[in-house]
Amino acid sequence: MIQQPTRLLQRIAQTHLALTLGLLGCSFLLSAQAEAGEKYAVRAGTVHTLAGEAIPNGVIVIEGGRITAVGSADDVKIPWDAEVLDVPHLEAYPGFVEAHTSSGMDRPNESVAVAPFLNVRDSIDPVAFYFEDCLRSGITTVNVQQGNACVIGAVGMVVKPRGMTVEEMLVRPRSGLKISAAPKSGMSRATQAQTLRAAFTGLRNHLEDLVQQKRNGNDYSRREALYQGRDLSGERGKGRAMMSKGWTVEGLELVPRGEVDEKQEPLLDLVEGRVPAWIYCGAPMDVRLAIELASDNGFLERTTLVLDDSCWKAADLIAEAGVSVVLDSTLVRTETDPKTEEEEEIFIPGVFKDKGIPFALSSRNSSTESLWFQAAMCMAHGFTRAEAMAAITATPAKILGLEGKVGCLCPGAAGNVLLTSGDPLSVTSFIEYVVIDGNLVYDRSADIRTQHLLEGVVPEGTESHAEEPEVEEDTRKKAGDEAGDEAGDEAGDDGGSR
Amino acid sequence: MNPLFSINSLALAGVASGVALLAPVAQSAQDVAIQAGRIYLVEDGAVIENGTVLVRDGRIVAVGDDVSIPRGVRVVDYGPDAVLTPGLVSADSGYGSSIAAGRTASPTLRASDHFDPYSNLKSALGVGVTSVYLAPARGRLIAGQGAVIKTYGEEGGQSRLISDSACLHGSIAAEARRTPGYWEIPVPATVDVGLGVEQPQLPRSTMGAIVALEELLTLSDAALAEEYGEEAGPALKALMASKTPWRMGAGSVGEVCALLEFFGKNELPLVLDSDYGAAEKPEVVAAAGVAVIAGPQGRSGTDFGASPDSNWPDPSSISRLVQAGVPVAIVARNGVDVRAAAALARKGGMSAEQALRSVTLTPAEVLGVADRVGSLSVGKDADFAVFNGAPMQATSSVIATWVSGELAHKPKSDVATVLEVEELHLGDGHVLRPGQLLMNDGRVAEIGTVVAHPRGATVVRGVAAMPGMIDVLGYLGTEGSNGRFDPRFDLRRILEAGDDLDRRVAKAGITTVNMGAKSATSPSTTMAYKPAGEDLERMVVSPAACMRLNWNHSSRTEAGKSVRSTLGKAADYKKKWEEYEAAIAKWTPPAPEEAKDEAKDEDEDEDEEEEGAEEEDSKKESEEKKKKKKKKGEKAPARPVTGEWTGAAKSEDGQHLIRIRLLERNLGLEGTLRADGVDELISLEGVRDEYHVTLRGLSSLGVVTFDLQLEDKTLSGQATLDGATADATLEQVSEVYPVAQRPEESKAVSTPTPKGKPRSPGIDANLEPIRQAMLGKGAVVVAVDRDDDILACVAAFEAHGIKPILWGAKSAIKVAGQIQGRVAGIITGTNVARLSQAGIPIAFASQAEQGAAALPQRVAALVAGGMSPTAALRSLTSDAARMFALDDRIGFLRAGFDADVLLLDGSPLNVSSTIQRVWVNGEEIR
Repeated sequence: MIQQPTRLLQRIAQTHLALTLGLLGCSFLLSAQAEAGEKYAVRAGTVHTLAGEAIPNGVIVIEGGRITAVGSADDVKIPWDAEVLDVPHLEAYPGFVEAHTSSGMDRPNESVAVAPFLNVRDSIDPVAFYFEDCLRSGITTVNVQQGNACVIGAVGMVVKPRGMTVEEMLVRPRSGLKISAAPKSGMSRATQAQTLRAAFTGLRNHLEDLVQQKRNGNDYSRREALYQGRDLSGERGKGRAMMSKGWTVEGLELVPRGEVDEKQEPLLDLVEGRVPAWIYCGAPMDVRLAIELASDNGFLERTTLVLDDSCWKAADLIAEAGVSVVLDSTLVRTETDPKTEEEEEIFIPGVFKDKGIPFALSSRNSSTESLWFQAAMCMAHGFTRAEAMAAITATPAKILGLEGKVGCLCPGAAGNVLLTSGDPLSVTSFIEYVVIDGNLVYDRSADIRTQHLLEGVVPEGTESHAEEPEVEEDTRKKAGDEAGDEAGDEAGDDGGSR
Repeated sequence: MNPLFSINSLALAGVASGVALLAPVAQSAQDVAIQAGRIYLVEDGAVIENGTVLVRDGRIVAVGDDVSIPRGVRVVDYGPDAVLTPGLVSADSGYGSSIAAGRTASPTLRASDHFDPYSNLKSALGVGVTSVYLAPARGRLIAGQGAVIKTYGEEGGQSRLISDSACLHGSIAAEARRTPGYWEIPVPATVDVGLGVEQPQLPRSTMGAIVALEELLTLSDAALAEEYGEEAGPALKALMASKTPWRMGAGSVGEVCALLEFFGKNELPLVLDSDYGAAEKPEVVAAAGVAVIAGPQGRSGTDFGASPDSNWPDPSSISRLVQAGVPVAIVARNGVDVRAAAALARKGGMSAEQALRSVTLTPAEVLGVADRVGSLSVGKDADFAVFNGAPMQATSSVIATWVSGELAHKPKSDVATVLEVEELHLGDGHVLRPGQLLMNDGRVAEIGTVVAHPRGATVVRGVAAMPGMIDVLGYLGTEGSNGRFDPRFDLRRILEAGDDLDRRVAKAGITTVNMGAKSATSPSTTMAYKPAGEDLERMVVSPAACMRLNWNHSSRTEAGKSVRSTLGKAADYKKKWEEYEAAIAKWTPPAPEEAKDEAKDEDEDEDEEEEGAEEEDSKKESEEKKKKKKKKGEKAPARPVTGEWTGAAKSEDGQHLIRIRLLERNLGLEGTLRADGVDELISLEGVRDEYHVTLRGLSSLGVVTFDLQLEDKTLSGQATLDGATADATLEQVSEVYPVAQRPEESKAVSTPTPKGKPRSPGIDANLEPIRQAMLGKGAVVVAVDRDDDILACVAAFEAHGIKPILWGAKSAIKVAGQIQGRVAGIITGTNVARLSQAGIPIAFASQAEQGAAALPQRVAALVAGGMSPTAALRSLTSDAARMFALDDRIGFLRAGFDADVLLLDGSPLNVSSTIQRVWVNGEEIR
């Protein structure tokens, strides 16, 4: 089974430099999959950079995983040693960006209510079918976050949907802490809010305790840290004044960072602004709590709201708070006027567009109503092409802090290119090739699943069950009737598949 | 009696006009004056008759019976029957949540987090509740902080949250003693860190609860953190510093006493939440000066306990507390209908005023929001409930709910209207004293001395009511046309709904006009319609109510000639149809293959069908069934009876419309029966023996049986109900027994007419109405005056089986004895008193357009001239309807009939009474 993705993905670059990425304060964003100096070029009928005019007969040059040049074939010279994908009949688009998903993990939720110490890194499954399907629908950047059933959840990460290990897939670690303002199962709205508030009060109490201990000359927390085997050298051994816009604890610089409880630390990072927050709102009333929590604790400007479709009602509140949002996959909602009982259809992205709130679309699931479909729905409801495309490329990239790095074809951006047989928002065109970081990772002509589904081609090697088992002559005779039946079945299967 | 509650009205008017001068547009749309026949202020028990509440920016600026309404202010008048009270306040509700925090005392849990500003609490608004309490959680010693919200408001607005910390919500009753042990998941749970054990929590008993409360008040924060969580201590101290009251649940009287003692000792503000315990010692509770929240019924799904000491529901307990001087906030434990709860709690003898206070001002005081809601006084929020009767009476219901000066709820406009009158004249001479009438969905739904009052029904009280009157021949709607209406012309085309002139006539009480042409020298048809109907479909009572003929002629020799010739033609025409029907019954259709070239005939038939009346349809049906019969040979087996059958049961006391649905099973029949006047669905069982069908069912009135003979699509025979017999005739209208499952549509197969099929004679619009009259299904009006002509005319019609309606008939009195029983009635203004005494039904025609409005006055003059008032009333209603065979819809007040009702300020038999209000098809004509 593991063989399939490798066969499917048709790797061009066989050598991978497994760069060890620092998991902390990572300022560079993309891992170089291809060896430095490895060059790749795409020549397409039209290059839609989404950062300017479309370029007819365009060329994209990718070096070391990043785009170094984009332009007309007349202007841009393809390096002599570059491997060239020459597809003049196709159109090139940047890969789509999924701003928030809980797919691709072996299990998206956690029973512990407040668990900021978890990281989705430990749960992402590189061979999940989800990632394979992302390529098919043109998604090349995915922000994986814990599921919505949490109070304070894990730290998420941005990945690209290819690679055999999480490290290979990594685009950006620590892409944010997941919080839910909607009640986790078994909780009421009040207990959810109480637990959320208490988590931050608890952090504050813990930090104040640490400071007090230091002032009193106690070293309990140091002993505890050493007992747990925490590293207290380097940065971790130094204390830092608290950098927070919400509230601060006087004298925190006395406390070495390594002594702060590991379970509380991701929350401190959030309050200090080192990781963003993704707050899920399951109803419009949750938006107020989400904003209250974010502004009380000083991380409002690094907050993105993950919204249920009912939350369009709180658009005014969201606009006032100035936060970005990730919309639910349901784009049209029917509301009943409480007084007149008249039904009204609300096109949700339209509401957010009108209020000037930056929004990213999200896929319903990996294969149907994926990002391109959602963008197409927006166009069907009167968005311009640029607006619809921005909601699946530039806006999610900006929300993820990857502006100019993904979601456009421009020099400096990751070499993520989709080659489509036509308009990517049309059901009649296909994504023929996907290039990620200058590696051809998807080729529809070799996509056995699509071929099986659309053309009925039986993948090579999957017919083995139909082959007769190698058995001794005499046993075969004994089982004569059964074997005969099987043979009959086989013939039927073959006939059906062809 | 009427205290002056308005602020200086002169100054107010001055301000208002000043504003108007400066910026007329700025005259706020939110300013509104609400008027009702009776206004309960609740404060000091004051009541204002015919008062006004003036509202500005969501607050009350004046209330009283002498409020001067500034210019431009919108006035909403609910009329003299409406009662306005402050918006009701529910001191408990299920809108919060029952999920509690893990700790036994969790004062940081806020009920305000349950508040959803994006949803209006429709269920509360529907029962007049404008403010509700939200519980943070239930079943803990201290569950959290309660909140009070308005049930309606601007979407997303936070202004609806009146109090986010109304009280500390807790309980020492049984519900709070099941607190689970506290256990925190250890992270990480390794071999070094065990999973830990549950930490038991108080209370397990009343004693334990008091111990826990004492600990909470006395222990240090650090000590409390161990037992009750880190936040309990600081949060509790802050709440106690702000003097937040404790709302504590207590079940038994022992728990009540324990709480009273503890809170008395610690001098903490207490509110008891106790349905029955507090009521056992009302004087102790009163002495402690503690308010009680109590409901007359328990929560659903809870038992009271089987021991002799357990408290069983006792609605009178609340009255005992109230009479001892304890402030009680009455709640509905199963919802928010506090008005119904308070009405029930009156069982113990508390007054309606006290009950009203218990669901308005007292709960507002208990919840600490009396500065904003709970009574009507200047400066408070404009929250009102408007009722259609006394608020503490069970049959009253909410007709409007206002929150912060905005209309938050009103029942759907198509809900019922109930008329409550001293005399209800049913039209056929019967009078109910007193009488009530329920109109629903355009029809009369129920009549009786007390009828159902659906929630939100408009209740109208008056002296007398009667059916709408009928002008049996008027020109209203002809718009001055002098021409004759060709019988082929579909009169429905000239109808126009919502005409002002029509409405004025209807307001005078004429709810049905039989419209005809002024010229009646040659035969013409008329249409019965309702001049004030709102939709065309229901405006038309009958598109061809009668055929008008003229017997009179200036030359004596010519008199009646044309009528006789028309009757002759009609007889021929009828004969042709009979022959056709007979022929088609005998005709055997050829094999379907040969039947192509006759498609033309079929087309022709269809054309006719468009022109003709429904009879054509029934005709076709009979064709079809006859065809079937023929196909299957001479001895056709009886057809299946499964399906829907409608018809009537005629007995001595009148005719009842009935509908039977039958389902034929292997051996028997089962089905249902509906009959007008019987408000229940009666199940039937029966058997059939080829053509003989017997059915039996049990209704609340007794056993119903049917003994019927099947003949084609007709079932006829005898029906008995509780001994009384009637003749029942039923027609099959559908062969489908309607069940929840979607019935498969039988495809209408349009086979081309086969060769040799008898030709239909076609519909002759000039003769068809007369043929219908010959069949007893229509009316013919003949203008005839002289006595000999009358006799000749009646005889001529009698020869064709028609009872004509005589028009004019000035000399009818001379031959009254001879024509009695041979005519359907007489439309005249001459000798009406004597004619009606002779037993001849009389009807009145206005022979005018808007002049129809004067018809009642003309009849009044006739009454003054000696006509019986009862007969006059019948002439204008039931007799007129019966004459024109319209007595299945109008002319009577009867369940199932059209709701055309007149409300009068005196008996309709008294000529000085005037019509006050008029309903047509259940809609009031304004």
